[in-house]
Amino acid sequence: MTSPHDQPPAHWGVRAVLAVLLVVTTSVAGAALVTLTVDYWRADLWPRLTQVWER
Amino acid sequence: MTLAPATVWRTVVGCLYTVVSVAAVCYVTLPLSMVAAIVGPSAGLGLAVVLSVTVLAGRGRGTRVIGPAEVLSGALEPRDPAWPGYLHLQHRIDLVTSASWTLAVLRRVWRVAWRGLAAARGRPLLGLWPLIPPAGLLLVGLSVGAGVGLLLYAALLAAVLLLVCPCTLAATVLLRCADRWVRLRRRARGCACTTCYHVMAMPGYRCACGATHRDLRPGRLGVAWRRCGGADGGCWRLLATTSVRAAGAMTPVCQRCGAELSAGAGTIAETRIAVFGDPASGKTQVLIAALDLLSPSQEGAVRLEDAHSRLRYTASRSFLPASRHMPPTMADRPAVMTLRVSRGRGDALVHLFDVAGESLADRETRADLCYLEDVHGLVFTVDPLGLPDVRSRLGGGTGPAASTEVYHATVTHLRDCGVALRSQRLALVVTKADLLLTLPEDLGLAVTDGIRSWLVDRGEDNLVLSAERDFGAVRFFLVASVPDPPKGAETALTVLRWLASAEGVDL
Repeated sequence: MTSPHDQPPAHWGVRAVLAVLLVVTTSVAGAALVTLTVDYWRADLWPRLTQVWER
Repeated sequence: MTLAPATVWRTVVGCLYTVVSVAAVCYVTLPLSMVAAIVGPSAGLGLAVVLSVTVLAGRGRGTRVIGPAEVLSGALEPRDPAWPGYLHLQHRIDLVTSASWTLAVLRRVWRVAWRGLAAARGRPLLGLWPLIPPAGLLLVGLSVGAGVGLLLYAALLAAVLLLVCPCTLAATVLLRCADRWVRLRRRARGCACTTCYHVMAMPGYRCACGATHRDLRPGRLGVAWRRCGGADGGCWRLLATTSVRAAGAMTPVCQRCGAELSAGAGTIAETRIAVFGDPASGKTQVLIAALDLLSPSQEGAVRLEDAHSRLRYTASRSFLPASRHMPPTMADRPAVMTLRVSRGRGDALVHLFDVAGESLADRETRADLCYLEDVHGLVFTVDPLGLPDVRSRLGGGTGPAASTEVYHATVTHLRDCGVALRSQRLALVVTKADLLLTLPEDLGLAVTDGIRSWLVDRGEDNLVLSAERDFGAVRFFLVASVPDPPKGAETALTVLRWLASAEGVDL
């Protein structure tokens, strides 16, 4: 079986592009997800919880 | 009413437990769950990305690479020793490897959590139950995040494929069409191996490392170039994909026996001409006389292509003029002489097959004459002095004409092989014109009136009519295989020129 390290430069190029695209995409998607959740938490969920605690 | 102390105690503890539980849910479970709802999916997403990037870096667990060895064993077509393009198979394997690895990690995390919960059942640790919902949420979020990460990876690959595949497909079709167009323009319609006589549409190409690429067309192994994987994957040479480009840089080889072919084979015009006839009818003399008139040399417009052709020509030439006896052609293996003609539109190859008369007489040996099925033109030589009418008038014995038998046997063999004779040319050549024209007038001189009518007058109407019925074009020649043919006879070169012109080769 061919060793994973013995691959043509074109393969490494495509792999590198895919890895960068994957990191960038997931970073953007993850950041958007966290922002949306935190916003929802701060705007809606947190006030309700504090009301419960105050009671 | 007085309550029992035990009941009071139980009620107080119950109330206290309820207050503590409500407080735990409000101040521990809910806030931690909210944190878990963010941390879990983020961690899952990060896990999937980290593992996928590790696989892309070639360091993943169980990473498998589709290399030349796998292509040769049939993982991808064509089965050539070359690296396949990443987006043809390897991308799928990397995605599956990433998914498998991520799922294995998640499975292990869930197993550890489940074992911890099972071990804590019925023990004081169970008092930490307010932590169980956030932990569960964390695990679910982790799994969902990892799934989303893998889906993102798959979507990204799909987007890249959607972007790249139409471009590579268009480039592949374009390059293939351009290759075909150039070959059509050069009148290149296949090539023949002079070692095993196999005729192929395209030759294979041998890399400098020794590996043979049987299908160098643009495709899954590369569009404009492919990376050779010969020498156990250690070659790494970049090879041009189209046959027209490869022909200038690589050695063309036979698809069947692997023998080296002439440079440019498959990408330049090529015509194959076979000479057949009964033994001693002057087949080889016709060929050698024609070559003599072409004056093949190393630098000229007409060259003998290989050492075998040069050796054969030099050896046979020493027997000309025809007054000297030419030894019979070897019956076991037909002699092939290859000419390279550099005139008009680029180079052209002419293969001349000298078929031994003896091999045509026997049905078994005739079956070995596979190359006859793929020739473009045929020369049938008739010895005029062997015709029964001429022979009897010259005082020789009588009997059936051997040439007619050989003709019918050969044509039957070709027809049995499914050869479309109506699309082929036949040159019916009456040889030894220099001797024939010295015969008495009623036998020889009348030949100048028309070789066809002369043959009919000599009782060979069966041969003439059969030839005209079997082949698409038949032309009759009277040939003298001597440097200066007598008046009324044609040179042997005229015969070859007529046949070669059908394939656009200018001799």
